[in-house]
Amino acid sequence: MHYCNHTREKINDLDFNHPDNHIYPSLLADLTSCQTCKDYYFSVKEALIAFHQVEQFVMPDEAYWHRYEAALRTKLIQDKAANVMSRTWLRPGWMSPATLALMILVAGAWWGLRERSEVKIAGAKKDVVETISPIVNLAATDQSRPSPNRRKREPVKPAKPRKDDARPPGKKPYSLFDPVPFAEAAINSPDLSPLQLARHFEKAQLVLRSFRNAQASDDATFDLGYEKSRARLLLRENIKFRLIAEAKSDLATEDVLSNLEPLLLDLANLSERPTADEIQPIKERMQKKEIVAALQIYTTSFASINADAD
Amino acid sequence: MINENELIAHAQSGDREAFCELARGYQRRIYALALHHTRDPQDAEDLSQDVWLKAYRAIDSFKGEASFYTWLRQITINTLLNQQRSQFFAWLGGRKKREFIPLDDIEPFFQIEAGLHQHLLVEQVLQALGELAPRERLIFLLKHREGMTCDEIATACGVSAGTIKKALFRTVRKLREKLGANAPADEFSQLAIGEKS
Repeated sequence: MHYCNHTREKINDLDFNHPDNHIYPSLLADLTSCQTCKDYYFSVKEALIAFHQVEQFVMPDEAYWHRYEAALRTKLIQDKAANVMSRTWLRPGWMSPATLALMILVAGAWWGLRERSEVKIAGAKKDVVETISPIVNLAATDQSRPSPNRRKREPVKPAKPRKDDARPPGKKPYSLFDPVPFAEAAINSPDLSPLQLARHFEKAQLVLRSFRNAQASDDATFDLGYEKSRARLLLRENIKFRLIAEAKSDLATEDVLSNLEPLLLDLANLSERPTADEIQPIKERMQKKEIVAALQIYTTSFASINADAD
Repeated sequence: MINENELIAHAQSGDREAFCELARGYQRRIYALALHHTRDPQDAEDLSQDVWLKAYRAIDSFKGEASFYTWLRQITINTLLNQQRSQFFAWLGGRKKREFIPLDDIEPFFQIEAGLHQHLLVEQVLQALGELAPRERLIFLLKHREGMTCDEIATACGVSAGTIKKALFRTVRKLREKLGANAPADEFSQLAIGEKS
């Protein structure tokens, strides 16, 4: 008795690349007895042949692989450097007596300088409050970058300064780009977990990728509303994290965040329907800085630190 | 000429060049798998390099119980699954339907002698792949590109073999309708839901 459903299951299980498959003899009998199943078989076969033919057409040429290998080598070098730094501090075996003595010295020095740094942070808190808004404004209205036929942009406007800066808790929440909560958050919450940073870098990476892969619509403009709104949110986080990294003297993190910030600013300040002329300089800078690759590395590095710590 | 096992041993002892040499042997297969899955050359490059970074970090954990490529393929599968599991990607997918690669973007990768038929074929296949759900696409690629059995795919993806079979059936039917429509679709639709045997 022939069952088409069973035959179709056999066809689906078939590995077309290995003709000595054990299903073939019984399948042959089924196909010769049923025209419908035979048509189905040829139809599947035709689809798979088309699929396999395409592979050879879409594969890049030889020159591409040299570049690919070079990029991979660079990433491995960077990754190793990042890993050595992170893992050295998490490995228990590093604590030799000499290191212990050094640590005691460092702790002593830190204790002596503690008062001094507290004074410094208190001073920085005041400075940061005053400088947050200018950072956003200056970068948003930066006209020095070459960008022919640039449309008039709508700069991100920071919230107007409030008279009641010392707002009691429970009142209306601060708005986005409000300078006061920024600085307060940066100074009052100095803990910057690797997981937070990994998430931030991952989000930034995805937004940048999405921006990089955006396609022009019919009127030669780009629909980047989503990327723009995400960049605004990420910019807020980025500034906060950078300030914390600065306060903790975490130079490596601060460097990545500083590189990321101008790009987020540019995305946040794009016009509603930007043209290719507007987005091309941003794409070029992204490519030049290899920011996506750097973020990718840092995301995995911080994620692994967090996993190790857990 | 150093064989693969020696390269792995060197890589495990921290020899980066040995690892690069290992990567050179498999980078095309990994890239091709990522390219078919993402349908975007740039994303495929990013993803495949991510796979190599993960492999580099985890090379010490390779015990030689399976072949190096099997081990590497599992990393690739996990990377592709993690990418699609990410809530952000899911949200992005819901927001904007991803389009297949325009022909102009693929052009540089073509051999010059490729004709109009090849162009159309590529477009048709990529479009057909693009209409599959990411998980279905991955299962299809593992079965028909990597030659894995349903049980192997089930183990690699952490689902039952029955789920894989159903997904494969749906996927092949969609692709067949797109790429190899020899028989009337209605007849097979009836077969698919068991109205005719």
